[in-house]
Amino acid sequence: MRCLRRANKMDNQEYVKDQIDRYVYQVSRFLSGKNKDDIEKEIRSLIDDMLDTRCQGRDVSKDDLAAVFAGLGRPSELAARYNDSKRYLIGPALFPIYSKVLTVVLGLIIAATLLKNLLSIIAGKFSWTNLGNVFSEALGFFAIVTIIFAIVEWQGLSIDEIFNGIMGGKMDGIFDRKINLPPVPEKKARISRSEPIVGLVFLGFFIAVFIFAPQYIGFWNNGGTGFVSIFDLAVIRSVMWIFIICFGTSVIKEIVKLIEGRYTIRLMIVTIFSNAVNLVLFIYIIRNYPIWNENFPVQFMAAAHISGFSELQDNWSMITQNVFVGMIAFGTAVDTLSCIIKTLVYGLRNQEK
Amino acid sequence: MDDREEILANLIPELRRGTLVLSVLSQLTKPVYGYSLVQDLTAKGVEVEANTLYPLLRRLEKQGLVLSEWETTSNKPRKYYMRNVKGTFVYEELKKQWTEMVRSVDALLAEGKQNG
Repeated sequence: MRCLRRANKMDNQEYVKDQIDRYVYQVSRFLSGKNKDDIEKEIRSLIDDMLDTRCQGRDVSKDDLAAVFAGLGRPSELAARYNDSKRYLIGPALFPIYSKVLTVVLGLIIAATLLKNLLSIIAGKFSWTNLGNVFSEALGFFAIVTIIFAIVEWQGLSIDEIFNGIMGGKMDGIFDRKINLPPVPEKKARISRSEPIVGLVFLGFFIAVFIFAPQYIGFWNNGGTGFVSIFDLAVIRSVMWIFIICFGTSVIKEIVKLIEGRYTIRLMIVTIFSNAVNLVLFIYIIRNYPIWNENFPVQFMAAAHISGFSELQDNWSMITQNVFVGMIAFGTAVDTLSCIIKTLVYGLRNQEK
Repeated sequence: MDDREEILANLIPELRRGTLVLSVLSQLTKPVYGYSLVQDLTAKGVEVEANTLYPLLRRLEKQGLVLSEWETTSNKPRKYYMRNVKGTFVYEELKKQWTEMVRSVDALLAEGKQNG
């Protein structure tokens, strides 16, 4: 009888030791650094003390163990208290900007892919797989944005430093305690956030359709072959890389607007550069490549049951070559001039020194 | 819905947290091990959990404010901590700050009492 009790006692001690081993092991999995072993040893000694105080000499029960472990908390949480710096994938300093960027990027992607699908519905080529792609594309961009921000976090880069770089010292001062905040721009020199964001959304739509589905830019022929594009698709595809350069400079211009938030010399230079590149490349394409669908007016009029207007077809190449170029040139000139005027008249006032 | 209790449950530990280092440093004039310090402080009305105090002691050690040593002669090995010169300096400075702070805050509270 006595032997049996002693055997039970041995079992119990082993059980308790095993449970403590398990708990400490779980904690150690989340610990890092050279003090790991020492911390484990100290936690063991702490658990011993806690059990002693609780049991006052009697055998340790399951309940005692449970109470002590509960008092220490989950192993991962206890370990986290030992790990000095709080570790984040994306920390609180970075999070507001991360969520803003994510909203804009995901909004653009989802809108663009939905539009693509909408067009495929109109074209009668809708498939559920394509709709599923909305999700996977959004997920892909979510991952890219998250990884970029996680690297920034991991590198310990402060978002203020980064912005300091981009904004050319705008934020200086707050951090070295010289008060040197940028002056409040005059009302007419301000660019509201919504302007470049709306610009980016439209650009996003247009770029998505233009690159992935130029065949849908045109009109829908009910009786006939579906969409009739205003472009010659083969030619458009062959010069797509030039268009992509144009889109790229336009996107950069809108992003600079978003960052600057006001008319500045920097923004003016970017605008002039972007608009010039766009116009030159556009004229180059129009003059050298037959990107237009030659028979567009005839096809359109046939589909719309309009007769006459044969001048339209006769003058089609003149319209596309000159009138269109003229319109684009006019639009570009207006945009460039208005930017220059706003910069020189309002933007230069109240500027940082 | 009454969330007063919940708000207080968040604010009270926050209020205490800042004073914990001062309380701990005050007790480390002689070598003590973590759990005895938990019991000591609790008995003196400064409630602290072991899972808060143990990592705190290590942080103080890393900052070079306390020394530590394992006591292995008894059958229970325990790690003892004690304030060093730097720790004492920091403790004295914190104490000054605390005294001033109590005075200022007390004055504010007394003002509040007068105004109703």
